Amino acid sequence: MILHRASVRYLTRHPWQFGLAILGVAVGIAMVVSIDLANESARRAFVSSAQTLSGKATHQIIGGSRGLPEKIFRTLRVDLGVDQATPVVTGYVVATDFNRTFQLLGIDPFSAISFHGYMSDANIDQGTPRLITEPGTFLMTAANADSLGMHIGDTLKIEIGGVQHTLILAGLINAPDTFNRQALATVLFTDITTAQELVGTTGYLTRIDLMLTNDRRDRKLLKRIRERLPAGTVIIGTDTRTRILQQMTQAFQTNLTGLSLLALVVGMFLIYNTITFSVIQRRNYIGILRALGVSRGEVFSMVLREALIIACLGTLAGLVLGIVLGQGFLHLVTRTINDLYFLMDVSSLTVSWWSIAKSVVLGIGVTLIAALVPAVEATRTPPAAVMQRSTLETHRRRIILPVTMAGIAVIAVGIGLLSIPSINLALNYTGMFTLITGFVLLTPLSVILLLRLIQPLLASLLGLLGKLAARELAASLSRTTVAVAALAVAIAVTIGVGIMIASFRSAVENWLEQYLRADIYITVPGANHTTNSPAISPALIARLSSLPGVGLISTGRRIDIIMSGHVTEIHVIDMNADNFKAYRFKSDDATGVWPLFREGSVIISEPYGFHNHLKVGDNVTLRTDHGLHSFPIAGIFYDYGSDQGIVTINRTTYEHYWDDRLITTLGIYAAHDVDVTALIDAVNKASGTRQSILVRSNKTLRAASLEIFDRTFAITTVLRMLAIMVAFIGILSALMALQLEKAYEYAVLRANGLTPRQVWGLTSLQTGLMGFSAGILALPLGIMLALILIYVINQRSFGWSMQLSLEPAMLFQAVALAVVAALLAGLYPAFRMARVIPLHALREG
Amino acid sequence: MTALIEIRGLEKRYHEGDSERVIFRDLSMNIRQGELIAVLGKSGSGKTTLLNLVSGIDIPTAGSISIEGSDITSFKEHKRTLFRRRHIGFIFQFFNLIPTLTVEENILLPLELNGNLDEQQTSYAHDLLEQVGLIDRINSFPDRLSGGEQQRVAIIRALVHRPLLLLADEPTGNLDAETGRQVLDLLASLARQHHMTLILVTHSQEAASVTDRIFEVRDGHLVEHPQPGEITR
Repeated sequence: MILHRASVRYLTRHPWQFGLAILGVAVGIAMVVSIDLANESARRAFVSSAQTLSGKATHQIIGGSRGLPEKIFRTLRVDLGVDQATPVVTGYVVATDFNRTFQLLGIDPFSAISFHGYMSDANIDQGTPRLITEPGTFLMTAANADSLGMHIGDTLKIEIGGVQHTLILAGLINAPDTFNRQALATVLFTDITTAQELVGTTGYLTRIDLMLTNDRRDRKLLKRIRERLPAGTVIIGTDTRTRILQQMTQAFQTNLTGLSLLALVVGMFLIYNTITFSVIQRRNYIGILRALGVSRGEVFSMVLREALIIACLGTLAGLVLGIVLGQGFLHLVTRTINDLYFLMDVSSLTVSWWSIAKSVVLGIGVTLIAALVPAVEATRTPPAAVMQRSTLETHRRRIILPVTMAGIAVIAVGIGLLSIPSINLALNYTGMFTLITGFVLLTPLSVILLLRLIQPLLASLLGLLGKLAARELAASLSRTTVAVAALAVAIAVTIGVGIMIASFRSAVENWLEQYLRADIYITVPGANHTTNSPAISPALIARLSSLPGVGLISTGRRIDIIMSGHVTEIHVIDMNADNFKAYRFKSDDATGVWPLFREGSVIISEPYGFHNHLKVGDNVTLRTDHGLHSFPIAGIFYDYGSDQGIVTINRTTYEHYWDDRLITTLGIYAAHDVDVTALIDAVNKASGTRQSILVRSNKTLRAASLEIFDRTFAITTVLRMLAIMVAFIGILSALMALQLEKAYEYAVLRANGLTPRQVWGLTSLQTGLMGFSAGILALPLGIMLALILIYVINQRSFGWSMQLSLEPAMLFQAVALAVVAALLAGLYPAFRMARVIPLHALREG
Repeated sequence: MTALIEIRGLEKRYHEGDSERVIFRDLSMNIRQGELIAVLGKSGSGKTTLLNLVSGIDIPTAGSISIEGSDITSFKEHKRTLFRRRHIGFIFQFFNLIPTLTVEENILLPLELNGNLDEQQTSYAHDLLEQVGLIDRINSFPDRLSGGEQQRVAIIRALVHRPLLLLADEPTGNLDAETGRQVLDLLASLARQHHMTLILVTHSQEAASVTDRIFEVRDGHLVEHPQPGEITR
């Protein structure tokens, strides 16, 4: 108890060190918590929305390219006697007055009741009869209507597939609980017929939901349903569908978690640093305790107890900060999911006990792990024999070589782990973290060598003080190396992620330049999600084709099909041999691809080949409207548009196997000498008012694509900045500790005539040297991290390959960032050191 | 009276780089319970090493040290620590009070370490503080005390748990002559009053004069000085 009191007082008597250590843990934990909460909230929102919308459905029957013919529902109910089945039509609409996107859910109110509790009469204010009898009516939750200021009978202007419609609010759903209320916040319900008219799929359903038990009768029934389903339709479990969609975002979310863990690793150095300082500063005190009979175990637990205090306070603060940051990250995460994967709306951060428990375990665990080495070191303090720090530094110097050797061994282990060709991201990140740890172990030797190199230069430039600064730094290795290592890792993360993003961006830019060959691209607004993408009307296509100045038109259509528990995105193209050159193939010799493609083979994107282990010459089996069919793969092309990958098929082949004739994108090639801006005006005029279309020039589309790219990586910028902040705290903490310890030495210097300004200069020089060392050490580590991110993580997460794009300016900036961060962190300690009053310090020393 | 401490054939060598330094060579001695011993010697002669060996902080290269019949050189580190905690009180030249503990907490620490901290023992500690005139400083932190006061607290801390043996390493080395004399008198009188054995390491002949027997470390051996007045004291 008394020992514990001594520990607590030690911590409170060193508020700077104590506070900075807590802050370091807090920021590290905050990053992990915020990413975890944002990911988890997005996942939960998605799952709850999927569960609410599928209700009690156990299975879903999904159709081919155009959906399910309505008659299938009749077959189920009448011929097969399936009671628990309900038809569904889905689409996306934009409420133009509010600029909000809603999911449109066309339902049969009678059969839907047994699937969705909230559809019962008790939960709906009026509306159900009107929904059926009156076309163009809809239901929404009362909360939703409230937020839009709408009442029963009001009209809502919507746009779907570029066409304007007006709907009448027929009734309000009183969602029974928050869970349902949140899930239904972005849903508009209409009758099946209204939905079919709006989406433009009259006679077709998006799916049929089934409610089947696992008993013998229902198993038999399921078998009979399967037998009666036409080719091209598939029956899957509702859980499977949810899982498939979730899988799409998994790699993106795992990578964010990996990056957030990097900040925690930097935080670990800070904790290690702080605890090491506290042990070193108290060697005398611990020695006395040992002489008084305090055992090694008791010293060990005393140090760990202190670490535990830091861990608890840091984790607590980290949780609070994490929740605040999480709100911001949630926005960034959902924006990326909306940009790249599917539409979802997450209104609030879900703070789960599980997330909190994970963070608490992580915060306390990481802190205690970081404190283990200094705690063991503390137990080795000889009783009463007060070891001078010089002795300690000598000891540290003696272990530099073994530490360096250990570093090389750890790096080898890291390389070994990364060489395992596994797509397990946890394993890959473990390999990366191991490599970083190994590199950190090389820091002491590297700093000594670097300082030795710099010392003559400093001596010639600044004389004795320059020499003194370098020597003092080298003599305080036990204090400075960890701080330098922490900053080096943080800067290396910046370099690594920066190079990866730059390389990725450059690859995407090159790809866009090559891929986007048409002068004008046309889509229907809201067509960024492949499922249910609205089609461009054939009449409009015909009008545009006959416009003067239009040289050639290429068409595109994207559909999703579910195959063996995965979504396969199919891109249907209609282009000539010349435009087909837009595709860059992995194989050097791509001359034979076009004839094969034209004759019925498909080409697949690099990620698709990677995820499905396919190569040129293999077959890819697809569910067509007439059953399963295997298509030979003619080539694998570079594509950065989808991380799940796509299968591209020629329209003639597609129309042979699928009944769908819709077109969702158009590429217009301007005739020779035609002004593209004038042509865009002409296209806009020709489109008229019947269907609004999005007309973008090649340049605009490219810019929009890169904008999405930059938005996707915006979150990593925040993460990198936070990692640097943790390292900044590390440097500040190290300098504050040094200042405390070197007060006597500085007093001697002051007594010998050094002015406060010179003391300031000396300490700032040391700080700058620390930053410079960190910056230089960060260069090889950063480049190594970039190589890992590009050739291992990215390659194994998404299957994308890209060339390393190394900008020397970025490396210079990184070193400058390290020096500036260190100098800023050193401002206050330098100020304090310069203010040392020689008389007091000498007396206390 | 039987010997409290029996040292037999003690040898201590240190390796310094490639060379070897012999501190003690075949050293043997007996110290009786309640006896006050002074160990004199030049700097670096091995006085503090002797204290470290007797307290079990250090282990000899050869030989044995028995305290109350237990050969502490055969103990493992943990057992030596527990033995030290229970049976030995340390007084250092630089007082070495724990800066983050008050006077009272400093002197109660050995009691707590031994699991003996109760009202009776606390009251005993207060009595001792009263005896050395520091009861009014009970809640002060060490940095608020003078050197002499700090050393008096250190003495109380060393004997509060009633150890068999007090080890004092240059306890007056950091005090002025007058205060040093007072501290030594206090140390000797408390040791005698509580019938504790004291080994006092010093380089001052005058300081040594408060003890019963005086030894000098010379060339790795302990040489006993004849001391006039030994019996009378």
